[in-house]
Amino acid sequence: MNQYRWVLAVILLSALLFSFYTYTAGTRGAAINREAAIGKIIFQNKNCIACHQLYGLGGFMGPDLTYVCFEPGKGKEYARSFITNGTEKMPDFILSKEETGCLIAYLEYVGSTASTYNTSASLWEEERFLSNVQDK
Amino acid sequence: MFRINNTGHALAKVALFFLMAGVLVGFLSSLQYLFPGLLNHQLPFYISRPLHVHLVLNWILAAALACIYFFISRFTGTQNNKKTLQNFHVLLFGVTAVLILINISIGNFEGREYFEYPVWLGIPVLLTWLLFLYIFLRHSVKIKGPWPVYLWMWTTGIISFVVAYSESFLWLIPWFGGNAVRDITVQWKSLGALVGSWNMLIYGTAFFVMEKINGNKETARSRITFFFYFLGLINLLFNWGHHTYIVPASSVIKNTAFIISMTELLILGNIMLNWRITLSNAVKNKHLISVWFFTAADIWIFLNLILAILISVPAINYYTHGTYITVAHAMGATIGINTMILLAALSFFLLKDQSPHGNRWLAFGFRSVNFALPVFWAVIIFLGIHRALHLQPGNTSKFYIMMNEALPVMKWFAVSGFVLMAGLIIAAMALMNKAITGTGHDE
Ligand code: HEC
Repeated sequence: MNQYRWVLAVILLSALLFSFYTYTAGTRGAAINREAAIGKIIFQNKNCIACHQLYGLGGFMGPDLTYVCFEPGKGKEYARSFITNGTEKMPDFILSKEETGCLIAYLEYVGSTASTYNTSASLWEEERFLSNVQDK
Repeated sequence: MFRINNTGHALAKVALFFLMAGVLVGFLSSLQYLFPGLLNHQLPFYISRPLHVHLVLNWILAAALACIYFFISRFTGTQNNKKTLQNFHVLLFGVTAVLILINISIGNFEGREYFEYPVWLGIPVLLTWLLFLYIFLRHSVKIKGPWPVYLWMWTTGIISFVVAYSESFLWLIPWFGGNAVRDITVQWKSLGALVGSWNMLIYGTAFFVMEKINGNKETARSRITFFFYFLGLINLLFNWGHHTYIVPASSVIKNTAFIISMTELLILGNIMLNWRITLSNAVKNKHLISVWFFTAADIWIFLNLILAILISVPAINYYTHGTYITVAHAMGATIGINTMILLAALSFFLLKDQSPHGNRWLAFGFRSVNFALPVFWAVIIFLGIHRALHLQPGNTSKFYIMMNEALPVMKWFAVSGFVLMAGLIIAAMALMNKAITGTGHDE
C-alpha cells in the first residue's frame, strides 16, 4: 500500500476542497426567515418527509412538495387545505392555525429557492438561468 | 454481568433478527400503499416507513460488524482474551439501536430523512463507530506485511461512516440548516457517502470471504483490485451530486458527479470480464451456499449498475428523479447486492456443512428471494416510469388519479414483496437456527 499513499492523499485532499466548495460557494441561496424556520421544525417533528419529497429527497406516497406553493393550479391556499384536512392517505395532524401557517411559510421558502424548478425542459438551461439570476 | 464470549456469533444473531423484523415491517408498509386505512392508528405509514428503514439498516450494519468480528477472532492471530471492550461495543450498539427503534415507534421525531429520531441519539451512534474503529485497528495493525484490500476497505468504511454521519447533522448549524439549497445539497452529500461507507464494509467482507473460499491471496493484493478500490472511494466522495441535478446548486457539483458516475462503466466492464467464477468444483461444493449467494450478488451488481449509470445521465435523471426508479435502485442495492453478500458471508462463518441437502430451508429461501426480487424490481421500475410520465410538464392529471392508475401494478408489488419477505425470513431463520444450535463452525 505504501506505493498508493500519494493516490490516497490526492483523493482525500480533493474531497476536502470539494466539501469546502459545497459548503460555501457552490450552494448559495436565500436564507430562511423566522416563520419558515419554525415551519421546518414542525415539518421534521411530524415526519412529513416519510411521504413527501423536497428536492427529490423523501418518501413517495405523496407528491414532491418543493414547488407546491408556486405550481400553476396549486398554491398556498391549496396546500393549506391539505394540511388542515388531511386526505384518505394523509393524516390530519390537527395542527393549530399558526403551525399550519409556519408550514406554509416553510414550503413557500423552499419553493422560492427553486423558482425555475420543474418548468424548464433542460437542466443545463435552468442552471445557466439560475446562476445569472444569482449573479445579479 | 453482561458477557459475550463470541462477539461475531452474538452480532450475527442480532443482525438476523433485525432482517426478519425489517422485512416484515417493510411488507406491512407496502400494504399500506394498497389499503390506506390499514393499521392507521397502531402503526401509521409515517412510523412504519422509518421503522422498516432502521430495522434493515441495522441488519446491514450488524451483519457487517459480525463478519469483521469473525475476522478479528479467527484470522488476525492476535491474543484476544480481553473481551470487555468488545462486549461494551456490542452493548452500546444494541442499546442505541433499541432506543432509536422505540423513539420511532412512538413517533418521537426530531431529525431528517433517514435519521428521524431525536438528535441526541446521534451521539451514541457516533461513539459506537469510533469505538469499533479503535477495536478494529488495534487488531489489524498487528498484521504483518502490506495490507490486503479488504483491510483498507473496512478502515475506509468505518472512517467514512463516522465522517458522513456527522455531516448529516450539519443542518443543526444555521449556516447549513438556514439555507434550503445548501441544506439539501449537504444532506444528499452525506447520505451518498454513508451508503458508500457501508458498501465499503460489505465489499471488504466479500473480498475477505472469497479469499478464504478460493485460497487465492493474490486478488486482494493486486494492482487492479486496488485500482477499483480507489475508484470506489472516488465515487463515495464525489458521485452523490447526481442526486442534486434538480437542486439549484452550482454546476461544478453536478458536472463532477456526472463524470465520476460514468467511471462506474469501468466497474461494469470489469464484472463482465470476470463473469465466469473461476473456482474449482471441489471448492465450489464445499462452500456451495456461499457461492450461490455471491453469484446472485454478482448478477445484481451488474443489473443495478446499469440502472445507476442510466439515472446518472442528467437528461434521464431529469425525468426519473423523485420517482420509484430511485426506490428500485435502493432495493436492488440493499437486497440484491448487500443482503446477498452478507448472507454469503454469514453462511461461510456459521455453517460447517454447505450442501444444499443439509440446508434445505436456506436453499429454499435463496430460491424464493431470487425468484421474487426480479419481479419486485421490475414492478418498481415500471411504477417509476409511470410516475415520470405523470410528472411531465404539461401533464395536468391529478396525483391521486396517477396513483389509482398504478393500483393493478401495485398489487404485483405486494405479491412479489410477500414472496421476497417470506424467502428472506426463511433464509434468516435457517441461519439463525444454525447459529443458536451451534451446528455451524465454532470459534
Ligand atoms: C402518510 C403519508 C403522508 C404524510 C405523513 C403526510 N402526507 Fe401530505 N399527502 C399525502 C398524500 C398521499 C397526498 C396526495 C393526496 C392524496 O392522494 O391523498 C398528500 C398531499 C399533500 C399536499 C398537497 C400536494 C400536492 O401537490 O397536491 C400537501 C401540501 C401536503 N400533503 C403536505 C403535508 C405536510 C406539510 C405534511 C406533514 C405535516 C404531510 N403532508 C404529511 C401523504 C402524506
